[in-house]
Amino acid sequence: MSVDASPSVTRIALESCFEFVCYDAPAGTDGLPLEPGQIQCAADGRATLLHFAPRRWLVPSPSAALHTRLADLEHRGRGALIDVDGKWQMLRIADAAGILGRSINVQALLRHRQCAAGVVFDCPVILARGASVDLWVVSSYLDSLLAAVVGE
Amino acid sequence: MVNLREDGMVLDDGLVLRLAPDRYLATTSSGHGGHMLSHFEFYRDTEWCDRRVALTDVTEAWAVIVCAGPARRDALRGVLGGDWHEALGRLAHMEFAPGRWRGATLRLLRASFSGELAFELHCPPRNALPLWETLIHAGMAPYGLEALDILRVEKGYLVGAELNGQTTPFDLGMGHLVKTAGNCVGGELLHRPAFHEPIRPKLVGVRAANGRAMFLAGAQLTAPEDRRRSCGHVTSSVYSPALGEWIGLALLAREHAREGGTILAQDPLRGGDTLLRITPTNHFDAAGGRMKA
Repeated sequence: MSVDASPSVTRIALESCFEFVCYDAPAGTDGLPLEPGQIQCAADGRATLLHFAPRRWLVPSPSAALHTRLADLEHRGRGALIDVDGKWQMLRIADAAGILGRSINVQALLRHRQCAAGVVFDCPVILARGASVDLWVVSSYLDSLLAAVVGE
Repeated sequence: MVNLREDGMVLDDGLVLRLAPDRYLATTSSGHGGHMLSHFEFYRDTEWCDRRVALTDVTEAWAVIVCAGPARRDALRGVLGGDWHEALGRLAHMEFAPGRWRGATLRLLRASFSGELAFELHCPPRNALPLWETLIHAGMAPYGLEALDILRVEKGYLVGAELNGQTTPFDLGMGHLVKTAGNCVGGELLHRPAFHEPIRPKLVGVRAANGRAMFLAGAQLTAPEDRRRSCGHVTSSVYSPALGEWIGLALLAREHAREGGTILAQDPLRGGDTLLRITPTNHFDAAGGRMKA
């Protein structure tokens, strides 16, 4: 489900949300995007694994298969899968360079990586590059961020 | 859980819930989550970097509603439904039970910061408003921070005024909570002689010696016969409707902290001098019968 907060900003409901933490450097066989800043997408282009900090991934609305795969990694002692449903709120921003430009240079931030954790208008966020920019903001900062970007 | 800094001072306190054999949820005092996460991460990455421990901030993933009062067990039976009757009857103080309410996760924790029988309801944020409205519809009433402050001072529970970064667990009466077998963060420096000198503060309860006078947090404490040398200060004070008088907590030099003795609270800008009686920190229901009912 999505709700337009403005013509350029759409709120997208997350069915679930997890963070996965690897105890050691990830291996190719783990099936995770290996380098910080890399993301893995579903067939529809939606980012499903965002390596937003060293050995830490955001996992928004994972498919059953992806959840099973990560739970299996946890079972094998590779890391921990933590349910963080409610912690993050997702926004899709069509003109991110313009809308967020008063706070950060999105193009520069995402020039050499697909995702990055940062602070936008004093709000902690994770940004991911795609056809548009997807942004996950810590829930209690959502209203402040929307007020800053669309005057809501 | 009581966390110490390296120098032995109390950093924060909270609860730790064991959710699964290898999974824990730690609560901190209000607003200290980020700081405590950094503290845990520092020690995970330095002292115990060989351990396979992941730390994640889930503060935003949970809403917590506290239901406190002698009738809350029965009221919650009505609100939460039959699936929770067994847990509501079984849970002892500091125990919790996981389950579901209206299809969503709910955790019921029997813990109290008010001294009353109390249950914390932990739920996903999206369920917090429906749960809140159901509780209110069932006849429960919101209580505010001032009421909570009165209740916690009556019980001698601590907040930032007492956990002020300059107090050790021994100062605060938490010595029994310090790990004695093996080492713990801050453990080595806790045994410094300076931490056990007569001028170190000790947490005490205080009430007006005449049973009526008001006194306020911040008042300086002196011996009645030596009014120029401060030996502590009042950290918290409230008017207790249950006791019908002003009560408080104070950090007072051990050499003066004799229960039943008196001490002078000097507050020249606000209220003048008040002679206080030194009491136990727990002013009300010392045996905890209400909380453990």
